[in-house]
Amino acid sequence: MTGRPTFTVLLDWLEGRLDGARAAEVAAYVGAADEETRDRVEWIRDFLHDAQLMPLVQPPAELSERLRSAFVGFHSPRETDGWTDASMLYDTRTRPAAVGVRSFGDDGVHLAFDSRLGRFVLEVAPGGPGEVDLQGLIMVDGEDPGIDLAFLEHGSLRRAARAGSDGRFDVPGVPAGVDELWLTSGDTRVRASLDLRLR
Amino acid sequence: MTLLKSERPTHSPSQNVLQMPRRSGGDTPAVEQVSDSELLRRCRARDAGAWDLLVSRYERLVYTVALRNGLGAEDAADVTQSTFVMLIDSLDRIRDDEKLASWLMTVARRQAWRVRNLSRRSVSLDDAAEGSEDPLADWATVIALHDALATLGGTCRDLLLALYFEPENPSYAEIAQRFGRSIGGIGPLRGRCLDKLRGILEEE
Repeated sequence: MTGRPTFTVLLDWLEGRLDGARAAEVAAYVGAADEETRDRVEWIRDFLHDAQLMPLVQPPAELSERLRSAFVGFHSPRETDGWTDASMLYDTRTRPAAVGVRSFGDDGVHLAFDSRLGRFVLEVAPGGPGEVDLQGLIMVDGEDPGIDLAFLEHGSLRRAARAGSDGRFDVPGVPAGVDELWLTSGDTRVRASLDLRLR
Repeated sequence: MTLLKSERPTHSPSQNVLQMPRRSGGDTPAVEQVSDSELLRRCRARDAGAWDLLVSRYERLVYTVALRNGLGAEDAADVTQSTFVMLIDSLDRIRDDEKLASWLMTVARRQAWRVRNLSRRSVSLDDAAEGSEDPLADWATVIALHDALATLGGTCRDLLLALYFEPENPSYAEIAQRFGRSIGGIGPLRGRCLDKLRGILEEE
């Protein structure tokens, strides 16, 4: 062998892509090789090993489709007949505490709504300047393909979240000016007017 | 509108064509040159085509992280959706656009842990103990590799992903067909790409 094997030849050799004579040539060179060639061989071996640590799995086609449509769904969903309005059941700022409703005292607000997707509650607590921290729970009726939540201020998306399989969600640092919540599950879309200002 | 091939060429390219709006001035780079930073910039401007491309680029990675952290297909799908929703939520707050791969992997892993912890409440102690071992002990290595691949970008990234990260181990003939190149060109190209990747990893 006349010269140092190139990186590609070393790779071919390690992958078993060279014919017998050429492979023997490269093997002989590597056996008595300089430090740089040894480093290259070692690096390629490590790479081939590391690449196999986590082979990539193609997600199902319907998941890919949902991932793509999520962006439009959050920013500019089509105005369809799928929208309904949530009705407020409770707001601790305007009604005396009821049995079973957690009290926040002067620091927070508890909101409860009913909707086509099921009842949901929001706990609004003070956050950073001009912000509130939200925790919520959606009590889903029937099979739930997952619920996306969009918090909007004057029609512009401010925060996005997805409720966990237990129906809970946690969104810290929501701008206090957020005035609308969209909940989307499949083709069902619910709008709720919000007032997150803490007094 | 400009038709752009997706990041993961298939045997039927026409089924995998994404649309991205041409930027004013006609300076839209070829799809293989669109960096993560550029995609994020366009997503911040509400470019749905850029979002499609970003999903194409990273959906396999996020879904795989969820699976490899102990979830079944259904939970992994949910974690994948949550992770991409979190990306929409965080578009204006991501600190380092060049590290999008590791950001997504980290979020997906945390979400997967959360789901596993929830489900463990309802499984036996024996099952929970069996699942408590870290399913990806070489996490730091994997994350560094995918960040480096993102930095590498373009055809090189796609080629290396196809050759070394797909469980099916596609042949050079299949790869050549996907990428629209000659079979004889695949070997030398993958060597050059891998050498570039080595340079990126050694710089870091």
